[in-house]
Amino acid sequence: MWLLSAQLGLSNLGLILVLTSAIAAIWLSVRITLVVSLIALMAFNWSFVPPLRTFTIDFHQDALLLLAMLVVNIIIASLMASLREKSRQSQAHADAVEALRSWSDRLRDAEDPHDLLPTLQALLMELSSRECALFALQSGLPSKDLASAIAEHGVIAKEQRDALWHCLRSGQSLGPATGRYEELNDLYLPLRGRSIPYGAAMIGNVLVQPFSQSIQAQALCDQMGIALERHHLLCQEREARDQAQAQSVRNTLLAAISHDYRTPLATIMSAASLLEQQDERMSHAQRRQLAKSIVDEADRLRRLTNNILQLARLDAVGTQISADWESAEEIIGSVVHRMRAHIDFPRLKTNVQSGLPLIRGDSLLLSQLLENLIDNAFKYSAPHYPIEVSAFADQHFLTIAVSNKIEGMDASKFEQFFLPFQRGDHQHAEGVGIGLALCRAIARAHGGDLLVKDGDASVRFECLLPLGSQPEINSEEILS
Amino acid sequence: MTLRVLLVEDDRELRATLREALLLEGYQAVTAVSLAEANTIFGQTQLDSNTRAPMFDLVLLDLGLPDGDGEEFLSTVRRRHSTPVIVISARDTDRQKIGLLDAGADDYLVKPFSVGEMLARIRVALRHKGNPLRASVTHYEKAGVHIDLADHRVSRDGQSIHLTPTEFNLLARLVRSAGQVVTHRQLLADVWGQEFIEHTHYLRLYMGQLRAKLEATPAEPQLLLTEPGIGYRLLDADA
Repeated sequence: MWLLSAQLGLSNLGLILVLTSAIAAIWLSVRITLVVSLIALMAFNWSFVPPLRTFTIDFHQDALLLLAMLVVNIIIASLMASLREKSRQSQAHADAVEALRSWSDRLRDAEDPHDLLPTLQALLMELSSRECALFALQSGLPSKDLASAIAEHGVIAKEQRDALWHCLRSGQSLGPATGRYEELNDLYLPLRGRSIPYGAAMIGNVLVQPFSQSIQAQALCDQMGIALERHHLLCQEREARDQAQAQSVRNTLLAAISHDYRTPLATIMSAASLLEQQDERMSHAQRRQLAKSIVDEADRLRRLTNNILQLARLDAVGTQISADWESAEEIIGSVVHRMRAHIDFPRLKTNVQSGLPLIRGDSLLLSQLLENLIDNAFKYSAPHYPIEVSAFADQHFLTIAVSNKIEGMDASKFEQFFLPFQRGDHQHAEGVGIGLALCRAIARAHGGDLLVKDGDASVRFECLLPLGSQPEINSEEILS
Repeated sequence: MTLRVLLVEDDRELRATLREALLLEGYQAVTAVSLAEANTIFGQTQLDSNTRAPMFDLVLLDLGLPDGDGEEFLSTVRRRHSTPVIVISARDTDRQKIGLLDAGADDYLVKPFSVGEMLARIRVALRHKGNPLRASVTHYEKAGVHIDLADHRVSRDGQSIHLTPTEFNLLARLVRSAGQVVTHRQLLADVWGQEFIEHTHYLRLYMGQLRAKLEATPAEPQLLLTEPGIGYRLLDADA
């Protein structure tokens, strides 16, 4: 000690004291730094300032030195403290911004923000270290406070629920330090969308222990409110679109029914009434002819009815087809077998590539599709020319095609038969329109499409069905 | 002896027409308008008091009845007799129809159907009567195809055809129910085993192989017919 004092001199030693105090200020709080500085100053006085081993000071300049050191220590301590406070604040701010950003990302990615309500509750509990609860509207704001209109998360007492409803309806926060209902024990924050609030959150026990981060909590809540609002609007829009589509399909179907049912019904009616009233005057051959036309027209009605019902089903919102592994060869085989009973035998030809892969599909729908295409080909083909049904596969698609020659008709006309259902106008709705529109609807329900290709006085309908990976067979004898 | 048919159909016009067709064909027809009535008729007259034989040789059952479940009625019928049951279905009762076929109904007709079709199904069902799987049936011959189950021999136009054991089992199952529809489930369970009843793709591939070996044009089968969404039917040898 003495050696130090002799070597450096009192004023240089004083710098060590200032250094100590500065280092202490880096880690310690203001008060402790000041206490430490004061103790260090006393110790300095005791050890180095003459007379040694006492707290008395002999010289005026020593007293001045000690006083200056004390003032410098105080300044250093308070500067460091304010610096630390500033850095803490900016860190907290950055954390808050980051938390908000990641919260808004999660909300944006969520299919239904209602699923994230428990997450919001957890975030508020983490932020406030208190019990939190919240509720959100399921859809629009009801005129009365209905329990069925909201989804609750967390434990909510009755008076708390009333306060939440009040908060939701007013769109303003309530509770301590909000200027409204300050006597409440809990803080209530609305989940505000851009137009109206979509829910409310509650942070417990705020009256006793004040809660400083209500701004951050409100920001989290508002993000949720905006997400709920967006979801609500999307739902409304989808509903409106579905309704409009259902309406348009219904109109088209009605137009088709009124147009297409009349002719076969009229034929059946006249043939049957003729049989009923003029039976004895007719020859056997005449009676047979009438009976045959009744059967044929009834069959036409059957097909038309099946098509219309199926189209209505496929157009129903959210229809799923019941898919299984199906073989195109089998579907073609069963349809051709059935149709041979009604139609001109030699004109219908099949050309099916052997060893076709299986497809995922609904065999009844695909049969109906093929039956409609063949029926259509017979209606619009030039007489005596063959009608070919073929099937082949490439890497991605299995194609079932029906082609025939046409006379005196533009093949591009077929494309417009699809249109009524796409545009929602129904001027062109005819039996063939329903049939083809259904074919396309079936192909699309299978993830494929129906295409029309016209060539040299011929038309070809191609139904493309996507090929996935083939099913596994655990048997050594397959394909033997 | 006149064959007796119980016709369960709620629509008045259709009931009258079908009844007329059955009578013209020489069957005796008793009609019921609901499942409750069918149950009563069937319960009361199960056994003829004189001959102790079942009162009905066949049941035609419409599924679109207002008062309930065809399955219950099927089990009532099946409890004591192997009386054949042919199910009549509309499109909206398709699922119920498959359930009933799996549960042991003999065949089905989809509305609207022709009388000729109905009578043909009735004839096949009556031939199979009492023997749903007719183990005794060992021969099948149609359109140049000969099948001898006992000797494990299959030939087409005189040429012997080699079948793998699974192909043979599948064909044998169809031969025993020739003329009748056999559902996917029944085939998978009988040929591969209960745990395979969802593996429809096995059927698609093996039926494809069978057709390639037995049919002149596999894409236009004349014998091994597909009933889309239901199962398969081997053409009746007498058809």
